[in-house]
Amino acid sequence: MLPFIYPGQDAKAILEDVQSASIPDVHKLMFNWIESFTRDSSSLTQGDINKLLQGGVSHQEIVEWANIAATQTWFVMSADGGGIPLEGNAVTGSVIGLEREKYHAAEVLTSPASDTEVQINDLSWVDRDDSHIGSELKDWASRRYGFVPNFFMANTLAAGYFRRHILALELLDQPQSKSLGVEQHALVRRLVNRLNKGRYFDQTTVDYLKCQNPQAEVLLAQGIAQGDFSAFTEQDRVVLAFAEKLVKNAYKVTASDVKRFLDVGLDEEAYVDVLNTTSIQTSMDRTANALGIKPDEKSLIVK
Amino acid sequence: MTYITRVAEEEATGSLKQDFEFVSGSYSKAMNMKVPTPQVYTTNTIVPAYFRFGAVQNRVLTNDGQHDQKPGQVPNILVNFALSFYSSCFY
Repeated sequence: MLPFIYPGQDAKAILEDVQSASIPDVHKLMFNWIESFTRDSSSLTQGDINKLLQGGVSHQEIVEWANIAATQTWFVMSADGGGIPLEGNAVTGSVIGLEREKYHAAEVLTSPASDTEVQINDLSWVDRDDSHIGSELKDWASRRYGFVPNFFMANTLAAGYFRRHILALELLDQPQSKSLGVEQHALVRRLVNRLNKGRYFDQTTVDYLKCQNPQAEVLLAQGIAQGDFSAFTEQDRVVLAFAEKLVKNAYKVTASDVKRFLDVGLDEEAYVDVLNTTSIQTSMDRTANALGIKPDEKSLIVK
Repeated sequence: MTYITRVAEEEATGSLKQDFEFVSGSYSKAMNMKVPTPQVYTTNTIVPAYFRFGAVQNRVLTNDGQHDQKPGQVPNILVNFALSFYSSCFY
């Protein structure tokens, strides 16, 4: 049993334990890498991968960690966005057994936003095994895009996650409820990608938004820069503010965020749609950033 | 008190019912006792496509509910914990 999962500690005590000599070095390396993945994945570089490799972590483990983190990103946002209380058989709650209000780690050691220039000379920063690109994936990718996206090529060492990523990309194609407009959906994807500084899906989210509204990209960029989305409709502003809160601090979501949706004529299904579009896009952006996946030559827009 | 309307496990039908059964069965196997589907999945019951996504992620993480993956240097749950920790989410 590791010391930092004993009850009665606050966030700072846990952080001290993570940094202490009492846990294995490989655990410390994982914690540090996942911290960057969570707080600012765009700051990660090939040097961070090299540090893990030098510490005895294999390429396969690194890719596995990135994929586990991708799925957990969705669970975190589903929990906080849905107002789910701690329960006995919760994944981390069962291990920690602590009152969650003690743990606002997001307010501790917050990293500044990074504009790191990243070089990706190859397909990604991690090894791959192309034999895991099976005919089913090739057929699916060929029908949709005409090529196998680098996202899959870079994740071949964790090929078990392919069906998760396939469904993720299908869900991101369009809203999954009738309550959220297609343009609103495209705005959410683009905003989230920009906030995550997601290099891999940059052109895809630009092109998807342009298909819905050619002017929206410029307005969105201005809105982010000025912290003011007044150029958009009241509904759009509520949707964008919620998506932004989820990306930055999902734990700050409250029931009032749902009420804002209802107040502007949206409904709970639209709320769930924005919640999932944000969490899925974020999970893909951060995974691609963390593994240094080179953008494809064409956007991932269905043919 | 959760924020949005949810479909109860016993009232689910169609694909929602199937996914509930899978996730509940997966956790029951892991815990060696019958447990209901964890609430974190139920945020998405009113849009079943997203509930399906949660079920698929459980399938991926557990090898289709078998829970027989090889242990690595770092337990998967510790990676989950780290991400939750830095998100201030301790669900």
